Amino acid sequence: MSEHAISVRNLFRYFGTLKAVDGVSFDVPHGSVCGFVGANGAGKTTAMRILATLDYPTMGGAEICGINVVNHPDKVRSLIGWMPDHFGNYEHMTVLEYLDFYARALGYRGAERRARIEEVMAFADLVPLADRLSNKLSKGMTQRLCLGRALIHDPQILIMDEPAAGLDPRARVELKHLIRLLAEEGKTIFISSHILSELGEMCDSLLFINAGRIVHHGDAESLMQGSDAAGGAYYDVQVLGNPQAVSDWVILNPDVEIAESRKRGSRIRITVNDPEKSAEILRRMIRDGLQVVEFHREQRNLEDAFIDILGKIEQGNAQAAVLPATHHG
Amino acid sequence: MDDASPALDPASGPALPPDLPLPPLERINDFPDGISPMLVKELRQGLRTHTFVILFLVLQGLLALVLMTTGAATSASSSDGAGDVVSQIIFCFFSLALLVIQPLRGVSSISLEIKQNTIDLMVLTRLSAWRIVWGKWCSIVSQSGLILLAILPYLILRYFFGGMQLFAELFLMLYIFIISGTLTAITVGLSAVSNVIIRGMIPIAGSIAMGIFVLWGLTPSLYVFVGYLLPSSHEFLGAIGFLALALYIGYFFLELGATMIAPAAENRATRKRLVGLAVLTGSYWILQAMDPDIALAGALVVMGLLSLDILTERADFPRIVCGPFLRFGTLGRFLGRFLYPGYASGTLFFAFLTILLVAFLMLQTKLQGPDLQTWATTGTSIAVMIFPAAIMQLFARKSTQRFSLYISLQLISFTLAVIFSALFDYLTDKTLLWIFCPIPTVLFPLIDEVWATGNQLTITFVTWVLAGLYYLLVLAGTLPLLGRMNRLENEQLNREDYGS
Repeated sequence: MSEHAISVRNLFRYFGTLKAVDGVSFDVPHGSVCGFVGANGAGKTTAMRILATLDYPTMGGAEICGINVVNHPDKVRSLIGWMPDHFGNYEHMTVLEYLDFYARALGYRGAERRARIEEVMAFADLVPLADRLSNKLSKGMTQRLCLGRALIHDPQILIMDEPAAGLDPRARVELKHLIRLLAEEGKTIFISSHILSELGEMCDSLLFINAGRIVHHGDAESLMQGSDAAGGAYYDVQVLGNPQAVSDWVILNPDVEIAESRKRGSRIRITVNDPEKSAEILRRMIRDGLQVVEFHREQRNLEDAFIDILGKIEQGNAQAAVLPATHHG
Repeated sequence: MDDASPALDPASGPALPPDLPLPPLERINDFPDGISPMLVKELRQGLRTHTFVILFLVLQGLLALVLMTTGAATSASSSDGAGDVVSQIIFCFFSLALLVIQPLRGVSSISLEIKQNTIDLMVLTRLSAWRIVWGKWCSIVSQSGLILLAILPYLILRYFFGGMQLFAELFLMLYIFIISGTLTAITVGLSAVSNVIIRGMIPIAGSIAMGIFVLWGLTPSLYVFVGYLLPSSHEFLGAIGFLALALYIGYFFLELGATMIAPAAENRATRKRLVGLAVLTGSYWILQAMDPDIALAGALVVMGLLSLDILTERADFPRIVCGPFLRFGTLGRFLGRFLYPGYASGTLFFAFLTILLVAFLMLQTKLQGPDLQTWATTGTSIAVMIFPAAIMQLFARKSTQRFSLYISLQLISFTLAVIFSALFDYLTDKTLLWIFCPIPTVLFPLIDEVWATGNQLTITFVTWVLAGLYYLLVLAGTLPLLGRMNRLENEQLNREDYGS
């Protein structure tokens, strides 16, 4: 058995001049749940499609359980279950017939076919929907059906592209529950989503991708703590009065930054996690005449972490763009 | 009570949730395991579609009505021609259903799966691209078969009106069924094309033309066609030859559709080219005995179809495709230059087919004496086939829609030829045709004109020079891609990069 369930090395995928995936490398261990996060167009779906053998790389390679996805797509397909971000269902076909078609297409015959269908229907709670037409289901039911289909051949690895997109809160909770059950069974799950808080709860590790490149790989906790001394926590202070005056005060004081400027006040962020130092900063604010109306501690969440990472990249890009100009100028 | 459910028994501890009802699994045993999953799916869906159900019922109703009214009229007037009228009506409805409506049902068969993203889900199963396309085709054709079976009793009843060539008419019905299968294969294969205009326009235009043929060609002259299919007829062999060609065209378009949805690692090109080569060579030698001109026309049709594929296939493929060829060493590498997927190797394969045709022509010349017109027509046909590829090489080298572009350019050049031909008829000045002869389709009317009045050797020379120039242009553009094949082969031999 190979060391990793999913292993990607220097993966590139170009569409003409567009670099959809630009030198991506990462590993996902067996039995883990890995979240794949990125903005629209970041390269998530392209990378996932390559892993699912539906596309192929311009350069580099990827392995599923040690098997190359380009050279041996058939072997890889028996190991993975794929849930795309969007798909249509067939007209004039019931849920039962839909699952039966895929069971037949996957090579199941007779009693084994019926047993596989029965098992996935029970797991994804599809039994009450057996006779419903598959194109008349709600989005939540459709996703359950899609999960059932992806599980028919009992794959070791599930690759799920935005499975929670467009689901109502109840359907989202149901899907999350099913994913948890699958993780408990020891399946490796590689899942992309925009709902970062949910990914944080479910995933053992998170991969952030931006403009086709991996910008972070780690667990949710370390990500939320960030690299700053504050360990991901900060104090949020609401101040009334002239925003310019608040801004001038912030410039003169270390460990504070403007989080938001409004017409009649500002939100200030104290970036030290030490309560005593924070209290000292608060005292200084009041002493200097700032009208503090609110003061509370906040823990950085995944969305903040993601935006911070993107901000740092943009800052780096901007500096890289300025430096050569300065050098020449 | 021994058999009391634990959920209802207060003494057995906390109440358990009731068991879930079992899914109605017996309903999925409507088709045996031995039938292709794709066919099962398509039949389950297809037999419930309105198009089929309405077509089937309307056809039955109309034929019953026609037979009853004709029967009543015949018994009243004892007319001799009533049986012929019944045959014509039966064949008219049957042909419209099988040659127009049923093939049109294939127009969106694969494109819908692509649009709905369900093709990916199918490709991930054990279904190969070929089985998907084949299943789609089988489903429509089996429904056409149901229509055929439902109509047979009416044809048998018509026998009692007298004057019927029973076996010839039954054979014509079977013939129409096979042609319907070919037309369905064309629409199913083309339905994988991404360009909606090509995917829709060709089948719809073809269906309109077929509808006109059925109403104003086949139906009034039914007994002329029946006559062709009498085994004693001179045209019988030709009809069989046409049927064989139709079968190959059907296979070709299904392969075309399968290639378009197959993953890049699946090499479908080699088999497709070898089958095409076998059909081209075989049909030429078989038909040669009957009529050399028909043999050449058949070979050119097969080559034309092959060009549509080999000059438009996507150029890139993963190195694993080289594996089976490399097992044969240098010979395998050499064969790979002609048989790897992609239009680069397709260009070399095209040259090979041209050399083969030239060899056939030389042999024909040796046996029957020189025939410059055949050489000129063949040269023009080859120039017509390579011309769109040359235009793409000049103006759309990086296009990802080579197939659609090729067909569009071909349609445009044929339209221009018709326009120039009409203008020539009006102006009666050959200069116009000579000016536009770089568009090879214009050479066809020019050949006709020159053969009657001008220098035959010059026009023959011009056709082959044009074909050669266009070919060299295409070849020059594919040289970098041919170089890339070396790199892929070396990578496959060394396998030093990541993964194996």
